[in-house]
Amino acid sequence: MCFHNLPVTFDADGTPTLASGGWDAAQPPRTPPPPPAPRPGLTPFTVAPVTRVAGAMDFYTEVDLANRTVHDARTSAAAFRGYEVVLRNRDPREAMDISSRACGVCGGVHSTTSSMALDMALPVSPPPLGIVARNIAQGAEFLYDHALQLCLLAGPDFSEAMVSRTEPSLWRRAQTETCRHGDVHGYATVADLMRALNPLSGALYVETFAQTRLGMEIVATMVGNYPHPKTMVPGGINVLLEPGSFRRALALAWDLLDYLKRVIAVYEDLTSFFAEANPDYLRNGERPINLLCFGRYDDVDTYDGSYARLDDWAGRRGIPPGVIIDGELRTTSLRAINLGIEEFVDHSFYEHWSSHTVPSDPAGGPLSPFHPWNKETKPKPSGRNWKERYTWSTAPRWDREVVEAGPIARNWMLALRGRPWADAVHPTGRSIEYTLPADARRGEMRCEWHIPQRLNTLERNRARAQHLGITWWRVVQECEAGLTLLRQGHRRVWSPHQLPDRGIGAGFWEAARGALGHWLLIEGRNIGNYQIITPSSFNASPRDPWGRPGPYEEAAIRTPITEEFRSESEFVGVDVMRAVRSFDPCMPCAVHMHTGGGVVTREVVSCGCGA
Amino acid sequence: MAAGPDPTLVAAVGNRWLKDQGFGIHVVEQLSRESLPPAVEVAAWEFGTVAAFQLLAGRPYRRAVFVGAAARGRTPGTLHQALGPLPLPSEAEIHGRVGDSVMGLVSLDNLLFISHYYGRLPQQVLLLELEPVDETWGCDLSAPAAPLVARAVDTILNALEQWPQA
Repeated sequence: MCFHNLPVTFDADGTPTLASGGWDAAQPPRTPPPPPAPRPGLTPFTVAPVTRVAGAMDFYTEVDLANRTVHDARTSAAAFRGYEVVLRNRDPREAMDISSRACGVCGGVHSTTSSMALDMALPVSPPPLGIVARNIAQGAEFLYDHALQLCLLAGPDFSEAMVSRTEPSLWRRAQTETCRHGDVHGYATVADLMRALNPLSGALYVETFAQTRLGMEIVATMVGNYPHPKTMVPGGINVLLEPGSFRRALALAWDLLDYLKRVIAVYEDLTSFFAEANPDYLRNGERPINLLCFGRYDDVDTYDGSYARLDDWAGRRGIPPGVIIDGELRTTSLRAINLGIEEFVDHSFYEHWSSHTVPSDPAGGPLSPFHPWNKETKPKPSGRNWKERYTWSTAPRWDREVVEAGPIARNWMLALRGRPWADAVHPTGRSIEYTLPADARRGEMRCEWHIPQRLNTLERNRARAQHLGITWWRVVQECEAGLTLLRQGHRRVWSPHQLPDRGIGAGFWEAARGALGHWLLIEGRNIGNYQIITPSSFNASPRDPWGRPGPYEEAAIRTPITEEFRSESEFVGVDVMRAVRSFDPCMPCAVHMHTGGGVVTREVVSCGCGA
Repeated sequence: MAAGPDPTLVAAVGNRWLKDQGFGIHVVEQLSRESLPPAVEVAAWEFGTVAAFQLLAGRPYRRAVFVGAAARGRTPGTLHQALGPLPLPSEAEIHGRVGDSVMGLVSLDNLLFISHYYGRLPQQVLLLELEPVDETWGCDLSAPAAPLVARAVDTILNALEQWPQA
């Protein structure tokens, strides 16, 4: 059964029905045992803002230094996002441009998802070339976004500069540990590899600035400019695409290949080194295997953007949608995923809303009053209070479960239910096998990403690195598909449309950080309601009405402290930072503001109450 | 054919949707309508600093004018000039600024610091900065900032004339 908590059942034909008793009959979700009461001696450890996380996120933890574990954690997004308010009453076609500004990194993802919401609402279906161009641009975005995260943001946590300070015994071991993939990345020992990740000066750190430009150039080749493309339209894109466009994108992808191989190899070696050095690293950032994926890469033969055929076209996506709860696949139906989404504000700086204006989806399935199509954004600033309201982020849930979004969810769904990508990428049900071909600098590289036993920091980072290789293949194949379409005479990249008086639509897509949804209502030819749930909304969510922590919080709680320190004043908190950064936190996505100076403030306070 | 001199860059860094943060963008849009000396490239860098850094590092600019808004505690609504580059902060701070930049922060200071750190700034740098009055949501400049656009354009044109072309 798809839902365990929501009062929605499916008949033999898959038609959803609201159970008797209505939404009041929803079951409370399972809740984990509460953490023990705070004890004197716990060290409140505050990172504000979290280093290398732009925007305004404060992450509060209570660290039990005596028992070397994290007792409690709270994520607090400190700035109001507000795009839902800005978009209200505007022309729906402005949504693509305005929502793009919701993020300074993945603005194109928002534009694309917004255009998909308009595909559904108007309705209009893109021509094949428009679909392929979207797929290429969006794939190429991952090629630079994941690389930046791995080598400039998360990587320094595993660098010589960090490890030699926080885990000297591990650093000594790294100096004698031979890398298994040294033939690929060129570093003989793990210590050499860690030096390459040193902030500002490490070879891989510095090289990443130049290499990621290639990914951005692919995006710009397809959609004009980035991160805020002006070329997204309902029903496709508005760019003249010629054979040279696709050939240039292909050439850039090939130029990037050697670098991608090395990043994958680096993270394979880092993962195995840390896991084998100390099993506590396997518990870093660990949380239940609850994952959400909206799916990515539309199929030119089936995508029409309609809600009526939602499961047909979403099921043909290169990466299929799905939800995994407690390690078990619960659904691959994007419609069921949509029906199961609710957004709660009990611990956020928003007022509740009382209306239930959209009781059912366009196909008649029951929609919760807390579904995004029903949500109203009603900001209500107040002081931060851990028991009441403490963040501008909301708490999205699926079937009232705490779900995590990200590349590991994509890999998982591809491995479980994906179709082979021609002769290049092979999901096996337990893994994804693929071989990166020989390029001008290096021979072919056989890769296999295995569904891990645990969902933790190391596996999130490994999954992200492997996703680079998988994505490379997607970009190449889509470029080849574009050239084939041109040879067949396809030229159109967008379809004409009419703006209706009323409409309802949603865009379901994957940003680099995971599932991204835009929900839209058109009323009187204007936007009646526009709601965005970003992957960081899922991951950085606060407690829900049942007191369950969001994924960042879950991941930090019970994380073992492996850091070596002689006194509390030396404590850096690297274990906590690794756990949080493994999600690739994107506070511009979650709160869409920036803090300004980027100055890192770290407070280690001796107070024991944690307030 | 002999290559010409390396170009001069006039780049705005800012966010046009945050009122005075978009000052530089307004300036280069007006500047683009002027008659400019040869080998002058005008750019509006309204995006994350990493992309701006990559553009700057990818071209051998000889000189650059950067125009934008920077809150430095001066009288709000005033225009300031400085010859760059600014003194570098600590490496830890630069690393933090790289992180902010990766995550999409649009920041003139970040661009200058990161470019300077990696030796990617042109030999001559002129900074033209507005001390912002209002950086809240909106496309329009604040009342004190709006008339300074024309002055900034004149300042840039003067600088381009005075810098030797060869």
